[in-house]
Amino acid sequence: MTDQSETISSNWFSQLAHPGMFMRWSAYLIWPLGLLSIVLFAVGLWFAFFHSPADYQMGETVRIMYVHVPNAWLSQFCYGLMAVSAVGTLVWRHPMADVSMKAAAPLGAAFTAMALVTGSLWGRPTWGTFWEWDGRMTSTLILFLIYLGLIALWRTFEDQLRAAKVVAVLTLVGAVNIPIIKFSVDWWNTLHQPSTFFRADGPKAPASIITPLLTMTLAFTVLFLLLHLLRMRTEVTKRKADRLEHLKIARQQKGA
Amino acid sequence: MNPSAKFPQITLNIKGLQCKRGERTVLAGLDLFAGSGTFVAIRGPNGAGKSTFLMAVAGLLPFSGEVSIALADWDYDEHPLHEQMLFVTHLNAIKPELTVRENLGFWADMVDGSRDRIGDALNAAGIGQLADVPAGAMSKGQQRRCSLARLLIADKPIWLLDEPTSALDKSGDKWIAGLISDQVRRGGLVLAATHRPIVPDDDINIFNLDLEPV
Amino acid sequence: MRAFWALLVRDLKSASRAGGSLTTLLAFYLSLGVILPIAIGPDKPLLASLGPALIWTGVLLSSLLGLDRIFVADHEDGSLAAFRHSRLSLSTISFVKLIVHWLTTALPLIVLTPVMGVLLTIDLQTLLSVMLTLLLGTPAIAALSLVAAALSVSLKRGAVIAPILVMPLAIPAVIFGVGAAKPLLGAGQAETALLYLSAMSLVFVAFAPFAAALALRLSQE
Repeated sequence: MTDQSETISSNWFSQLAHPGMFMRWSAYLIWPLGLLSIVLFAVGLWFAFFHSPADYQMGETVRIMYVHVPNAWLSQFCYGLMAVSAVGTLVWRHPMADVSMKAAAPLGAAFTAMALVTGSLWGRPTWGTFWEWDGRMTSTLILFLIYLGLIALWRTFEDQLRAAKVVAVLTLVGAVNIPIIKFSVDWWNTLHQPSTFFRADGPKAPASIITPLLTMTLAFTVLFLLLHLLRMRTEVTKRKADRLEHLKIARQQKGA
Repeated sequence: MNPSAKFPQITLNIKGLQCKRGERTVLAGLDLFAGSGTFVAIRGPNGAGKSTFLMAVAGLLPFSGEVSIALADWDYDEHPLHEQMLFVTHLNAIKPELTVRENLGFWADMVDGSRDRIGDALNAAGIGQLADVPAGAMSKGQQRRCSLARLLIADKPIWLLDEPTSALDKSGDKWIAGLISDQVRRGGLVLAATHRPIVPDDDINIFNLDLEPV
Repeated sequence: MRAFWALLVRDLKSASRAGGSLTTLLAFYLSLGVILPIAIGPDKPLLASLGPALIWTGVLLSSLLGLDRIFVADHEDGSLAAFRHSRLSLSTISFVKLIVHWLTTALPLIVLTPVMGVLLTIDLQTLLSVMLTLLLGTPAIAALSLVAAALSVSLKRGAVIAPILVMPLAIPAVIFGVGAAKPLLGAGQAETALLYLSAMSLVFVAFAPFAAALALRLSQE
């Protein structure tokens, strides 16, 4: 740790983002984030189960919304985070941006999968079928495919430094495409089945719905940030270990 | 080839060149100063970073440190610097399904060379009689000669050669030595990574750059 | 311009002489034209109504077959590195590759589409509109393929991974392409879809060479 302090530049951001510094300050965040997320989940679930009304049409199943909507939000939030990290990788060539991007991809896929599963569980009693080619569900499914493509690309590269740059390009190409996909799917949806389902963001949601929804969204977001931080720390440690392994091999070769 | 053609004064100045491939540092703090009329022979065992060094000079790899190449009285807007280099890597850049003449004609067009010189270039390379044969039908050594003939269809002041003599026989070695000598005599700069020593003419200014694995 | 034409001619010559790839492409497309009706059953009205969708799916899948040809050969034989000191920038080179890919993949598929039309028993009017939407929409697919090919150029398993990168991104092209060709739609809808499709192709073709050039530069490092 001592020799690293010399290479740290005066810029505060690059100080915070230096891998060594990152490991130090992020360690202090893990417990607070974990506790915060537990508290938020407890409060949010309590509200969701006991202080929000059952829907007059959907009955108790409407409570799936409190899990579905936060996951759907995170599926997009995570892509946004990856796109910002991708810019960091390509423009500033910062190693922590690579790490952030790599750590986020499987999380994004997981939260998107959760959104799809909860959506389809919710759809069963509401629409009478597990899967409806509804505009949002379809867009989310395509987003899931994009996540899978990104993860697959990460895994195909042996050299993870090169992978980061190439994946960053794909992430940005995807980011440009997602609005186009969304637009086209909405167009397609109105074309095939002009339908009006229940919308979570309906015009007049009472506070008894908004409160648990916001709390749960916050809880899931904090959980996401915690998991992201943990995965980033794992990745930094893994890279350090890999580097040591390389050094060891190099030294053995020299000795031989 | 026109021996009287003179190149502008070239200076290549490398300071503290550092290069990484993946996690591995391949070049650590390398300095070199060379100019017109020099043959820089880059030597060293496998893994010493000979190819990496050439790729960094060619501008194909990110590096830290300084690599500056300058041509005296040069209009860089009209003739961009990167077009003044010819880099023959360990790969031949030859399409097997096209004939030798078509391959060279293509590269002549790509690097602003002259198609008229293809015949002479092939004769010099010793594969003149194979001009209309598909490149894939030739032997490894003949393909290498075809690839190196690219040096003769355009007048580029800076040559970067990665193991030019690989797959070549004795006469090929001699041909390459002669090519390099002519280029250096015309005021060109040649950087070549070599495993087998290339022996140019006696009056040629040689600089040996010895690399070692980091 | 001299270098531009040289590259275009060289790649087309190379593609025509390397042989086999065109046959593979058309055979694959035709096989889909046989398998789909067999799987669906010889129900003519059903086949005809599914026709545009099946043709679009067939063209998308078939065009992914030739995707790894775009850059891999030039990467493996060292041409890609040599291009770096040529008269053309990497984005111009990518643009030429895009044209060549479209000419050697999309165009033959479109030319063979009337045969698919016969197999799927669609009427002439629909066939013509499908061919028109293919003509306008395949440049977008080719552009996405170009980027995916550039991203995966240095990978041994690039040919496997590139198609799964292209497919989700190609969905809008399929939506508008099929949407514009469906005979049942109101005239206004089809025209809107055609406009969106053309706009997509234009934008993708304009930006893809730059994205591909960036990916090529990064994967050579």
